[in-house]
Amino acid sequence: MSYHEKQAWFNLAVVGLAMATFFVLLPLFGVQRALGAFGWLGLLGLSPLFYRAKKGNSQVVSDERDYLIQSKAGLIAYSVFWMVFVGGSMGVWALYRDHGYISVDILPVFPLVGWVVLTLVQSVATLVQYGRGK
Amino acid sequence: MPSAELKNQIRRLRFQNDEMTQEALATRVGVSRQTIIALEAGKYVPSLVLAFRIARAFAMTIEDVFQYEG
Repeated sequence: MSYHEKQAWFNLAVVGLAMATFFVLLPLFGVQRALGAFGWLGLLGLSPLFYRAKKGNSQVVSDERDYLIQSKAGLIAYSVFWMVFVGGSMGVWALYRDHGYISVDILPVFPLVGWVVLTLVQSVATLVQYGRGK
Repeated sequence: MPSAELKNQIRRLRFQNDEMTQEALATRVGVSRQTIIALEAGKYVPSLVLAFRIARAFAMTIEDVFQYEG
């Protein structure tokens, strides 16, 4: 398994942990406090550790094929992110247009959802491409 | 990008060169072993630079290693 695959699996696990914690906390504490569960996403910062080459190991960590797969996965994730962002923005507008304003409590949800969508789609796209042997 | 149009003789040439391992070839041309596996399976088309590196690793021309069947 390549380093990029390990990183993708790690990212999926972290996102899964954050979402599972969120849905466990949701009925207990409500949306605003349950959003704290996404603090788990900070663990994503550890994923570059997978790129650390072992001492004396001449194995190539990343090559042109990995770069191509990462580029495609990034493009797919970015496209999905924009669709979700535009859809979310229109959804909020449809829900709150009668109020004439949008609660500031909704705003923190946007970057969180965006981050989760980006990470989730990029990881899945990466794993699918490696699975196909591209 | 996978392509059935670009065939290669990497697997055969490895065995003809003292049964060179995929790992050894990967190290020599500067890619991962997974990339060599994908190349041999015809699931990945290498860049021109990598194709030249592989051909040079076998001391052959690029046409001897890769065949375009279009």
